[in-house]
Amino acid sequence: MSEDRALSSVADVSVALVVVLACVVVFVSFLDAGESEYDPAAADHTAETLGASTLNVTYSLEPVLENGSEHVPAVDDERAPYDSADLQRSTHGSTLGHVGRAALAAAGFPTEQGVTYPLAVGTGYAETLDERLVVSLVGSNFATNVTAVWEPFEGASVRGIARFGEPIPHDVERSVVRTTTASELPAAQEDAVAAVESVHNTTDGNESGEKYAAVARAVADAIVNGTLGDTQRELETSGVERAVIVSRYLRFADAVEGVTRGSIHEKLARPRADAAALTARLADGLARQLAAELADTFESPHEAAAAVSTGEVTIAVTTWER
Amino acid sequence: MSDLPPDASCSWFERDRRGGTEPLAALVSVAAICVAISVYAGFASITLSASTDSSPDRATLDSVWTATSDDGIVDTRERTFEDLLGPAELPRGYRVAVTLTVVGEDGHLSTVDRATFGENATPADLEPPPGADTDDRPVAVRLDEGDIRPGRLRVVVWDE
Repeated sequence: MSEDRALSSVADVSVALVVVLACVVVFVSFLDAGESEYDPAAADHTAETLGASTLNVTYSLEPVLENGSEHVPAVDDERAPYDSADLQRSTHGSTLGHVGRAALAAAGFPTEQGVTYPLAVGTGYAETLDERLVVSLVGSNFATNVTAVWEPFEGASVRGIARFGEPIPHDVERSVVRTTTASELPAAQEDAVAAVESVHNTTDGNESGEKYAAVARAVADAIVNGTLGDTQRELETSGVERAVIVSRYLRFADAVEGVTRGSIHEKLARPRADAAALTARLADGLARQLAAELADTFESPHEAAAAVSTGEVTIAVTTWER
Repeated sequence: MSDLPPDASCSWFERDRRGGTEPLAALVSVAAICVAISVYAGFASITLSASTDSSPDRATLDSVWTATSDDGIVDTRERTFEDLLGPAELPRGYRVAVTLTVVGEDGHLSTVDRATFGENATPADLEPPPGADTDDRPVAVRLDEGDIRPGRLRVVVWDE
């Protein structure tokens, strides 16, 4: 009768033991993987350092001069009242401010001829900044990426992005800290909200359209006047200041629909220079351009006004283990 | 007899029909479980000790940062690391090297302050061995009024 007893065979026991051993191996490897040199607070530390420190950045304005224009002679042209040394600039400021400025300078305006960059500050600026940041911020145990984004309103086609440090890998655990810094342009959100509130009982019944136009006007004024406002004196001088500001007007003419270099040529000429008329024309054109985009992007003018962000740059600091 | 539990009332023949385990399989299973527990205990002790004993570098970095920074800015112009750091900030039984660097005008790192400490947390002239535990963090360093550079605070901790 003993053959009838239920016995645990060697095979059954072996399976059980394999399960026990597998559990131990998995548990031990989990414990082992939990030990890492990476400090998740590294992104916080990096953002704090960016906010608290200052940097001196040297760059050249020469590449942003529109030498093709009769108003801006090339550096090696005998008519040019400046040389390469006059175009060297050195700026000292908060590291976070430099990062924000780099994003604004990279703002691309899409046009039929391609993307133009009317807010560019000159070559070497972002490169020098990148070198300094990489040397000072990258740790021995972690890698860093700093990405700054400026956009006049959320989801705008006009936007500038500046990236520093290493590209972010997608298959590693990352720490991200987001912060904002003031851009060099005025904040227009309050003006946009107030402008929307002030539109009432339009005669043609297109109240919504006028409200979008009012938001676009506030944004365009901030961009154009924040960049080119109060430039009458520069237009009337003859040195490097005039060359730089005229070049900026010309690039804005490329960027804004309905405005061409030829159409602003007369008001750029030194004897008849009229900064107020130029900025008004550029702001009108840019406002028309942005109004259509705002109406397509947002469900209501109030939502569009709330999304205006001309005055700030969003900065994301990402760190991960090497 | 009706008060007895069923087991007590069954016959020897009935008890002999219960399931059993072959002696060899039982011995093997007990031995293997012992091995598994030993493996686990060995790895766990190594891992746990590694996570506590070999991380004085990070704890020291936090401690040094707290002692040397004010409002998030490290300033060693008037009081150097040797003045600011001692037994309260540094681990006993370890040797420590603390280095503060910033980005210079040429884009390269330059050392602002450096100090090494012996096992009793007093300044000593030591050189960290290669491969010693190292941790660092980005910091803002005041070089002058209005001149606060991004830099690095690095701590190396080792024992004999």
